Amino acid sequence: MSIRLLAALLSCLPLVVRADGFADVATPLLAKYCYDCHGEKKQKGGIEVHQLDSADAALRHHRFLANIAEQVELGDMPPDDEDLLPSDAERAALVDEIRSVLKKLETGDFPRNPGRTTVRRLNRNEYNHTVRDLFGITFQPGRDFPSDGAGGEGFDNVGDALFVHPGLMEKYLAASKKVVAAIYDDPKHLDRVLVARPSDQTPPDRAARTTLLTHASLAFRRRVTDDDLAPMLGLFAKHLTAGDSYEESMRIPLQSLLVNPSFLFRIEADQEGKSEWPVDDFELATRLSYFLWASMPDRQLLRLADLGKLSDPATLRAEALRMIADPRAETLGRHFAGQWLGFDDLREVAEPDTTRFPEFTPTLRVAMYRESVDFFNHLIQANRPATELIQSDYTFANGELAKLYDIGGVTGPELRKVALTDPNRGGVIGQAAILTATSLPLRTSPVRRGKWILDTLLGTPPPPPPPDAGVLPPDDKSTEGLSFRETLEIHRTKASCAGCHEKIDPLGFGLENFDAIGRWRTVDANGKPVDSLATLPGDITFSNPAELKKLLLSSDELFLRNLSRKMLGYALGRPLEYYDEAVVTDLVTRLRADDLKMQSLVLAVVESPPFRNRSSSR
Amino acid sequence: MANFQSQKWRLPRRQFLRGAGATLALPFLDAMRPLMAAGSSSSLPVRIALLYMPNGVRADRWTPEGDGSRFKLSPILSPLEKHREDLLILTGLQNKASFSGDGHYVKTGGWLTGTTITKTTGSDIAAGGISMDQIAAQQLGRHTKLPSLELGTEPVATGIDTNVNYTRLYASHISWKTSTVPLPCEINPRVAFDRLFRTRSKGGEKQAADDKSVLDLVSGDAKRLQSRLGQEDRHKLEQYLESIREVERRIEAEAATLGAGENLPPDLLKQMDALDKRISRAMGKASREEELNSRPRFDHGEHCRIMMDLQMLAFWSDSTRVSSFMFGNDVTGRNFSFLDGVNGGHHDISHHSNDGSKLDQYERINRWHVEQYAYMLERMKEIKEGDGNLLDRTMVAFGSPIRDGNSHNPRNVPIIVAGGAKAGLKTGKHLVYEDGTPLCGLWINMLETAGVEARQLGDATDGLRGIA
Repeated sequence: MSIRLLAALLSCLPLVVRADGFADVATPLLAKYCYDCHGEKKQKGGIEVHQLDSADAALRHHRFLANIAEQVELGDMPPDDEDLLPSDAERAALVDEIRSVLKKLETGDFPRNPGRTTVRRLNRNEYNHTVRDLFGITFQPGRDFPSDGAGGEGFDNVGDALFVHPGLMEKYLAASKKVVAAIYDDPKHLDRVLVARPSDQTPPDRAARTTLLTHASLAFRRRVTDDDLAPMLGLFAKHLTAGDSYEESMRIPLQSLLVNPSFLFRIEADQEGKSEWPVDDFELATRLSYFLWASMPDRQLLRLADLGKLSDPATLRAEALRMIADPRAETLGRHFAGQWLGFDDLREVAEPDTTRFPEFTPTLRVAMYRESVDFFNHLIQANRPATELIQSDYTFANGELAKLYDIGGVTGPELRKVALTDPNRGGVIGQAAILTATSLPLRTSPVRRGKWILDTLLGTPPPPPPPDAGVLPPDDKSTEGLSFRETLEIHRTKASCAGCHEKIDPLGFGLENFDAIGRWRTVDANGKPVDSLATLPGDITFSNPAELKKLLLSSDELFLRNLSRKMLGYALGRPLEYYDEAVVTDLVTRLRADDLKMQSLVLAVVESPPFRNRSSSR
Repeated sequence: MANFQSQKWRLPRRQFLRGAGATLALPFLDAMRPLMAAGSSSSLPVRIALLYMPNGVRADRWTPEGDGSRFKLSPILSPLEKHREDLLILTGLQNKASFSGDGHYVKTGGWLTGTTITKTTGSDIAAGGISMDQIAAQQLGRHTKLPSLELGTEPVATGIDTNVNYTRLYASHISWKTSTVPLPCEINPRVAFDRLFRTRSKGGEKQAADDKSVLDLVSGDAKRLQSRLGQEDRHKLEQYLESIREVERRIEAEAATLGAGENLPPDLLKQMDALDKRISRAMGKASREEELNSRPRFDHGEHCRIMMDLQMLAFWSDSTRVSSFMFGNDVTGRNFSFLDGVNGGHHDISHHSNDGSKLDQYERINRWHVEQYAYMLERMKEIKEGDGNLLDRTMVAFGSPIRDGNSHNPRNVPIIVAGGAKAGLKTGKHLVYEDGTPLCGLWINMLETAGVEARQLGDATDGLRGIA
């Protein structure tokens, strides 16, 4: 007991110690009714609640809370067959305490913290984009780097999840060589890179200094020091003395820039004696450019940073708008939306069975991916409302994709904006990339599509299935005379499954008219008519994607909150903490205040306290 | 155009492989034997390979009947009949640390570490310990060009599994250099081949000196930076510095063997050349550059077999003594419809819910993996080394950290070790242990057999009886 008390006190330290209704009311109830299955010893379903021993601890573990409150309120938990069940009053008390913590989260009723991002190595995409912008290289020297894993909100730009290992170091070395060779192979290119050359007025060391100062400032995204330049100039001098030409002597110093830690890592300095501070202008330029371009700051950003003007609110806003309009901002669609919505899987992971779906050609794969990228980027570029992600009367297609969608009059390989007359198709839910990525090789998966809507789109993931829950046949060509949906219905009658599946599956049923590569169908693989009638708990019914989308739009708070949370997570490159929830609330408010326009969300993220500040503690 | 290009690069490439400048890591050459005590082969290297199969096995078709040397191979293991004298099939092992936590991640992440991974969506990724292959690499790696080789077929899984709150990164890594540094698998066979066998030719010394200059320079900068950073950030820079030190060691090792290339046995060169061509054929690209830069997307079986041949050649040429290979990431949904009688994705089928048709498909997928394993054993046995063959001094483990994929059962995991008979393993047996015997005991046996000191690993403080 005393140990737990001590732990509670310790974890309270950053917050003001005060009367704690949660510890007094909720914790004893959790201990009494929940610890047996979800405590230190056992964590059924991966859920543990024994850490929830104070309001502060509850804030830190807020991701579980909404779910716990809901399950307790609906009587799903504790399960009916437990010997010890809480009274209605106890249920209400526990739910109240949890909800009051959740309320605090939204309103920000706690000391704010801008958070602390772990130093970020450039990921594979960022490396390629950065080298392109730094040295004008058009091939992707980092293409053979291993792909990066994800952390935080699910993005591959989280410092904690980006590692360096010897194999990667070898690749950095090889890539740097390739880049420098490409520059040296083209005299015109080399001329642009060697911004200074020795002459009568300029001794070689002076020219080398000028050239390296230029490129090091760009590569390190900050003002460089003599300490930074000295080793490079030393190497230059060594080669020059050994009889190499000026050009030859510059080769290795230039190459070293691309392996330098100041290039490969996005480093932010700490400020001694402070608990939090605004990041400096160069750090801000770097945050901005990797958020909006997944690449280095351009010369204008660096110049503004050098003048100390970038942090000026009007300048920051103007620069963000300028950057949004730049073609480089297409990385928001590719990397941010691609990883958030999962259509990035189309590039490498999704694997429809090409015998069953011969239409799924490599070019269609690319067109599907591009449709989702172009659509998302259009929302940003044209400043469209965020809700068009759910429903729109247009999309982007080329000839091959238009044929899949049964839209006439579109030919050729180029994607273009296409008007939609069918209300079932518009928005990301009707996009082939997403419908394919949420299917299995040989069939649709209403469960995966339902989970995608709950988890990816709305940010409310269902709890995991029990491990031996069983699954459905991998192919929907059923042998027992049952339609695929009938098989699924049988599975759903199991008591342990029904609770969640009655929330998940209907969402997917409503999309059953889309086959496993996103084509509209009225009969399934067994030749039976598609049954897309869906009933959600509370007798909410719908029978096609258009109706489902209407339902989603009728209460858009969860969706907007999730979109805002994901964008903030991507921009910050760190896992979001409880104190960020209040920022998310602010983002949604800003979005609503400006007719849900996408650019207002991007600007709100850029102007948010965690984007502009850094803290000494997480 | 394509033909022209491929002709253009192939010719000098062959010359390179045979030419005077070839600088492969010095292999253990028969020609060098006279320098050692006559007839002794005790100083031939001992190697470790670890082959990871995702998604568990059909439990009732895995375990052989009978034990000791009189065992009858199970249906899944039947492709190994030819190699039964080389096998140690082990029943009853488990990794206790993998019992906490649902689903796959905790089993995969801790397979070779014997520890419990940290449950996280990314802020504190950690395996809890070093994987046994990396313990081996620390000690055996000093002798070879690469301390270890990590190969696979699928890119690192992205995203967070919000069901169980683990980053999917855990499903894609079995090798942990330290508790907090996972080593990703190389999935492109061309990149792996070049890394192993195609290094510097002419001007090698200058190249090496240049590389070292670059590394010296940036490591100095990293040290300066490091002193100004907070703890987590310092840790990232430490990874960077450690990586530099290792690449420097490699460059030195290569420099030391410069000029020794002519000593490569012709058989090895021939096989290298054959694999080189086979990779090009399988990848079907117009140029070597395209091969290097493409996501490998070709026949899965051929992909796996090429990765196995790479390990075989890496051992034969003594370029490394430690390797790990992931047939797929855990939870892989790879479409196995290319197999007769299988229709669907791997993970999906592994959750068979005791349905007869799915169990049958699951078994077929398992047996297919065992067939590939048998292929690797076969290939290694073709290579003569000392008084035996390459497999005699190579321990090739094959298994999965879960038994029944349907229930994610981590008890009695499927695991086999083949080879190593001349290194001291008592092969040709099915050994049945008391339930709950630590899998890490086997890892200790393998490490000790390879001459690596390993007193304690996970929940084991000693090797298993009857193995070495």
